[in-house]
Amino acid sequence: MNGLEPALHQPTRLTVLAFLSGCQEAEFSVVRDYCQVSDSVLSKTAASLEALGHLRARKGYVGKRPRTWLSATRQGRAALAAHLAALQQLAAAAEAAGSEADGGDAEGEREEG
Amino acid sequence: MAEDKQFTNGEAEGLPPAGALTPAEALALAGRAEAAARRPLPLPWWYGPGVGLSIAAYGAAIGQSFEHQAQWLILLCPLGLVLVQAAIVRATTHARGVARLAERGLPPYTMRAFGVVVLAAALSGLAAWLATGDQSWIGAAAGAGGGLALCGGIVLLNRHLKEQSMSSAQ
Repeated sequence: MNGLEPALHQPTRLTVLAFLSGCQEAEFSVVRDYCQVSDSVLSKTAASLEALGHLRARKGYVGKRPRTWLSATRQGRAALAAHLAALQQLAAAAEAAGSEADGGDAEGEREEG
Repeated sequence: MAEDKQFTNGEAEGLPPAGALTPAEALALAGRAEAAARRPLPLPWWYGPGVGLSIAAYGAAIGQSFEHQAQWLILLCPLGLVLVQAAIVRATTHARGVARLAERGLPPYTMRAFGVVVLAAALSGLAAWLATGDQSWIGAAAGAGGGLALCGGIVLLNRHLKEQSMSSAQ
């Protein structure tokens, strides 16, 4: 389907990108805590999203402590928006098909009766 | 620090495995994540006093500048205030861990709060003028009055943000 981003089918990637699209940038530990993943899982997820150009990682310091800040790129935000729009279309189509099937079943039952 | 656990297929704990999400579930997951990032976070305790002190220092510096007719200092003071405020905002962002998206338009009650701060500064300055007539005291009093009002306003805002944050977390 048009607009669906295969990389975002994975829930962790989708959650990370959706979280980052809701803010300018977020610290690695904040994203990790929200997603309830380990450092290594988030690191791999961030690296894969970065490779796709959806995410940017910035290294910095707070005092002497190293910190990594993650942010969604413009391309990432656009990909997420398109992905969510495509999902909405799918959900709407599924709902319409479900209600049609329900209507058909009810008609069939009436004819049988 | 989160425990480094093993996840099947690199999946997150608590999240469904890949391919198991229906479009509606994926939409809900993304919606919750985005809402969590947008959730208002309380400011660090030092934000209000920091901003208040910088305004008070600005008032005192402006007062001294007028008293000693130091034109260069009068021009330099706003620049110093902007730099200090920018540093405070930057430190606050780092302390909270999430830099929020810039919102269009002013947050509610901003103009009213600004009016209260200006009024407090003006009344303090007026009181100092009536009491001493000294330009340095007028500047210092106006800065202290405005800074105190701003600090109080931020403390109230922070209390509101804490309540909002707690209610949205539930």
